[in-house]
Amino acid sequence: MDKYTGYVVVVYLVTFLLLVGYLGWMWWRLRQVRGEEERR
Amino acid sequence: MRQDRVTTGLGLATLLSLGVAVALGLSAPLDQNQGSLVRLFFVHVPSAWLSYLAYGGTGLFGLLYLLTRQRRWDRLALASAEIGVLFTVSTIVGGMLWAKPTWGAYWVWDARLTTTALSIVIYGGYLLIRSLIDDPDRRARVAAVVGLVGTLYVPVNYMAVEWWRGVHQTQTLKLLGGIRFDAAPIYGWVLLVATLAFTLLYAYLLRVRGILAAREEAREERELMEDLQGMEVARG
Amino acid sequence: MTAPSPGPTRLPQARRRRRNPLPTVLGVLALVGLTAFLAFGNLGKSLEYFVTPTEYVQQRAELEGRPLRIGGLVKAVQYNPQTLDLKFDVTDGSASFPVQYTGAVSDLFKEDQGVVVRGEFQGDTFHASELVVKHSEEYNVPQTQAELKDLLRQAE
Repeated sequence: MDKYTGYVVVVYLVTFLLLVGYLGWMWWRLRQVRGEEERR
Repeated sequence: MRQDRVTTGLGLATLLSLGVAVALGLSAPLDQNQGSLVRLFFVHVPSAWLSYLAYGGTGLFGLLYLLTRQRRWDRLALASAEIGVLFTVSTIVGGMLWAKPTWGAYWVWDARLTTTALSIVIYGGYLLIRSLIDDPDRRARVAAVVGLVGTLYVPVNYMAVEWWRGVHQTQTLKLLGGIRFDAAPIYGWVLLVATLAFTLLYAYLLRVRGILAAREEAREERELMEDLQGMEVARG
Repeated sequence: MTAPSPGPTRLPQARRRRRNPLPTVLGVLALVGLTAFLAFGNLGKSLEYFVTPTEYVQQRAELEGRPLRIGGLVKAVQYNPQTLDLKFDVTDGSASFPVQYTGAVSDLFKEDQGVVVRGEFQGDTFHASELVVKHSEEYNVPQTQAELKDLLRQAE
């Protein structure tokens, strides 16, 4: 660990948060489509 | 999605390999010049690889659509483009935070960085054009052509560091004129693991986004049928 | 969309009315903005990011007095950490120019490192307003214990 650790941690976090965010968005869209199917 | 065993298995394999990649990446030995910054190598490069893979996929699936006219290729092309944009953004964010402590600036307008930013315009445009065309067949056709032409981005971006003078480093893993890896072997192994993990991740995301696209298409068709019936009733 | 045939071809219009136009408008705006930004950021510059000292010697007539970027290797560094005044020579082996810069620089800045400076020539001295360090694409683990200790000490 050295003075650059902050940058490293932030990049790893941002990359995987973006990924989790995208997965969450997909999950939300899937739920919406399914909800519409069920309402019929 | 929940009942789909292949998706679940793929997801678990992706999660596991990403975990291993992150653990290896964060414990890789320090570089003699950059210290721990070298650990960014193991997310920055695989992210860029995933975006190339995804953009290549958009072109390939578009071509398959044009050849077979099966709608499922169009759905995969759409899924792939969205994933590509996402990972281009990760690549840029990671790259900017790597550039600041090494180059001394978050951003420079050299050929590699400029063409990378351009890919967001190309594939953002691709997604936008899709949203503007209502007729599914016409949409698939136009998108396939845009996606196919857009694939040019991949070799241009890859070669940008060779063709034009810039700030961005040239490839560490040389593929042209004899394969050579210009770094300590341990970095090569970690990079290999991370790249494989990101490749799995691409497969997983493509599959899930493809399922979503199929559902959305079914909804679109349903709405079309409803409209048709509604009109017939109104006219009847 | 404008096909005048009757019947089902009017359907897309019935559907379009239902859609929220906001995402599309935002998307178009974002893309136009990004394109403009790209064009603005790159305007008047070629894809070649910098000229080498030798090229400057050759094209002096056209380049003189204009803001430009010069890239090369760093030699003869003189740095005053108090005033942040930095002087060095940028060279490509055959031509060399003295450079002046004021400000903090990246830790990777050192003798023989690649560097790109942006600024203007005043006489034979290049006054830089921006300095970007180019680093190698090679990454290596320190080989000896001494090097490792050195690395850890620097990292503190």
